[in-house]
Parts: sequence; C-alpha cells; structure tokens
Amino acid sequence: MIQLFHLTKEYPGEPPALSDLTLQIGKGEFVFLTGPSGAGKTTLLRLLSCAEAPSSGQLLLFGRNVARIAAREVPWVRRHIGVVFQDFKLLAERTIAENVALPLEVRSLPRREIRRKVQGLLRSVGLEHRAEKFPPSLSGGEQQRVAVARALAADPALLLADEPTGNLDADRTLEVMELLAAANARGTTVVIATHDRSLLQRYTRRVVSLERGRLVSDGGSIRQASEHGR
Amino acid sequence: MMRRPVEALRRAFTAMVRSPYLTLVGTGTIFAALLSIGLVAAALGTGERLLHAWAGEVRISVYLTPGADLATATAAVAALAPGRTVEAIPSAEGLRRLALGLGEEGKLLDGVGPEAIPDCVEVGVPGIALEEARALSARLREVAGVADVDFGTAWLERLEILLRRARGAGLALLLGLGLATAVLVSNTLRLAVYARREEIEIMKLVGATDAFVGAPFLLEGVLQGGLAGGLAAATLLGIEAALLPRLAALLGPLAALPPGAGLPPALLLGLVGGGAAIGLLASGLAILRFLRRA
Repeated sequence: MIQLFHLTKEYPGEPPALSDLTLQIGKGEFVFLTGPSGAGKTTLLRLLSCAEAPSSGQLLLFGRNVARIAAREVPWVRRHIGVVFQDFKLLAERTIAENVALPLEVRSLPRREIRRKVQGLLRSVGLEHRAEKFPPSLSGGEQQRVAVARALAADPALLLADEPTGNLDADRTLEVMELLAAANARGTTVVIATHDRSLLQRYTRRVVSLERGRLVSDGGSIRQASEHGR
Repeated sequence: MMRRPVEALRRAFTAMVRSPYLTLVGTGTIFAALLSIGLVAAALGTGERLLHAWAGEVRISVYLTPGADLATATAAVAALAPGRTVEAIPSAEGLRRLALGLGEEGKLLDGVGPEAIPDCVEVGVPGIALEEARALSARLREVAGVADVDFGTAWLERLEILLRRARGAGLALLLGLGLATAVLVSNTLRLAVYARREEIEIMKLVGATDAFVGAPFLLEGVLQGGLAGGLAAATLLGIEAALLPRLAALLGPLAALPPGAGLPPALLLGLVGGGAAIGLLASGLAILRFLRRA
C-alpha cells in the first residue's frame, strides 16, 4: 500500500523535515505515527496525501511512484484517500450533510445516491439527526465525527488522520478512535499521526516513531508490512 | 453528460446565495465599471448622432458664372449627385427666396436686380456625412460654368473637429476604463476566491479536479458580469429616458433624436455580453492563479 525508500523532504533554509526515511505500510494496517512536535509526522501525511512531493527518495502509493504522478492525475489518486485533521476542516457555511457529501459530489454521483450514502454515513457516526445543522453548532467531538464520516464517504483504501483527537476530551477521543478502528476493521488502511501516549497504550497497534525527521523506532509489524508490499 | 454543467451551475448559484456580500461586491464592481464605460460610450454615440442629424440638413449650393446655362449645369450636377434632390434656382427666384429669408430686412433688397446674384443649383443631401459632402462639393466645383460651391457648414465643421477630438479622448478614456475595470474586477474576484480558499483546499483534498473546482467560479463570474451588465444597461436606459426630453427641449427640433438613439441595442447588448466576458475572464484569472498554488 505505502512504500518509502530513503525518503527525504527539505524546505529551503530549514533542516530536513524528513530524512532518509524507509518504511512500508501494508494493506489493512492500522499504524500510529508518533513523535514530538517537528518530528515530521504532518509532513509525512502531506506527502502521503500528495499535497507535496518528496525532495529525494521514493514514495510508492498504491504501487505508483508519487513523484511521477502527473498533476492532473493527483485528484484520482486522492479519491482513494480519506483525510481527517485536528481542526476538522469542515466548511462552516455548509450543512453537516453537505460537508459529508463533498467527496461524493466530486465524483459526480447522482444526487439521490449521494443523499442515500450521506444518510448511512451520518447514521454510522450517530449524527443522522444533525444532518441539516451547520458545523459551528456542533461540539468538537461531533465535528470530528462529521470529519471522519466525510473521510470515509467514498470508501477510501487509505485513511490519514493528523492528530484527530488533539482537540477532544477523553470520551470524544474514544468515540472518534472507535470510528477509525471500525473503518480499519472493514479493510481501510489507517495511518494516524498523534503524540497522545494514552492512545498508543489503549490501542496496541503498530507504532512508528519519528524524531527530527528520522525513523527512530517501528513497533513491530514491519515484517508483515513487507510481506504485504511484495 | 448534462449533469455536470447543471450541477456546476447549481453550485455557482448556491455559492452566490451563500455569500451575498461577495456577490454584491463583485456584481457592484462590474456594474460601476460598465456603467462608466456605458455613459462615456452613450455620450459619444449621442454626440455622433446629433452631428449626423444636423448634417442631415446640409444643402449644397452650386453658384454659376454669369452667362452659364442653368439647364445644362443642373443636368451635370444631377449626374454627379445621383439619387439626390437637385433644384435649379434662377437668380430671380434666388433673390425672392433671399428676401423672404430676411423677413422685415428683405426691404433692403428693394431695387436690387436679379443680376446681383448668380443662378444657382441646389442639391439636397439629407443624411450625408460631412466627408462625403466635401467630396461631392469638390466634384461639383469641376462642372463647367460653376463659380463656387458652398455647403455653409463652417460651424458644423468646427463641431466635427471638436467631436473628433472628443471621440479620441473618449476612446482613450474607454481604453483606460476598460483596463481599470479588468484590474479592479480581477482583484475583486480574486478576493472572492481567496475568501473561499478553505473550501477549494478541502475540495482538492477530497479529489476534486481543477475543472470541478473552477467551473462554478467561472459561471459565477459570467452570472455576476451578465447581471451587472444588465443593470448597467437598465440604468443607462433610465438615464436616457430622463435626459432625452430635456436635451430635445434644449437643442430644439434639430436634436429630435428617436428614443434609444444614444443607446443603440448593440451598446446595450455589448454591456451585458461584455459584463459576462469580463466576469468570465476575471474569475478565470483569479481561480487559475489560486489553483496553480493549491
């Protein structure tokens, strides 16, 4: 699913955000990316979502070299990826249902099908009754559940989450993590960037630790991932 | 196949309704710019039409040398001015008309014989342009027996020079206004695009193509520009309806312009079409710049 070979990302005038990173994540894995602020977690997620290109090294996504993906093809790659952010990134002037519908509208699905899928997604995150509300009227936990529903709307093969529970209390954190775990159970590969140690302790999943852009530890299933990658 | 354009149009309408302030600012900017352009163009057009209306009164007088044959000269003049009204005026008739034209002062001509003024051929040339009148006069001057040709429009020539200068200045002004409009509208719509940068970023993130993101912005530009052009055209028609009677009263029957004379349909349609084109171009530039960076 994801293969990184000696991946480096540099920005002018700054030390490398990612340096010589080699890593493989197999299909259906649930991986925590962890490390202190500035470790390179968000940079790695941005590279995985094709928001940026690596400076050197190789990044293979779904078996394709990201550096060689033409700009016009990026949208089609992104349609296989769902993204969740710490600050939710919901559109305040659109209703909850409209926010969730975005990835489906982009695919130009018929409106009836979009409505049906959105209802199902909102039901799955327990927010069916809030469909016509606007994001600012929802609590942080509810907004993040909407964001997860949007990320899962198009049944992505890969779900990237950047500190998805960073703004949530313990109970809401649990709710959101359960949604991500459920998506993983349905076959979606999940990569979560977090520095919340309690999450790592609660969910015994693979943990990849970064520090100053370098891989400092990989919690065990790299062999399994390699097998998937072959 | 039809679903995507209809969907893009629906999204454009929804975005306009959801951001009324941005829509108002965009439409208002294009409206103000188009109204200024329309006012200048209408003023120039009205000036041109007034000149032509006045030029329509032009009569060319061809004075003959003493002893020249009036009938021969009239036939020669008629041959050079086909389709025009040609009238032979013997000196006696000319004297009578002159006395009539002078009114009370006509008595001054008592005792003046018809030999005092030459035979004349008058050519009626309604609707002729001054340039054409000049050319025709030059040709008539070549007719045998012609002493002088006069079309008595020195004041009209001065007016034409003035109008030519005004036309030059007006065109320069229109060009400047057009450039200012392009910059102003482009910047306004760029601000509108910038205000919705988060929406664009999220759409791109969920796999929207540039065409999917950009199409509603382009349609918004067309709709806002077309609407602004329509409003500018309606405003100009209102201004014309208010001013035309006063202008006619001020300038007299010479300025009896038909309704819409200063605002031909081409100008009104041009404002609507131009508005839509400006909106399309400006929003296209704005969204293109943004998508390149996104």
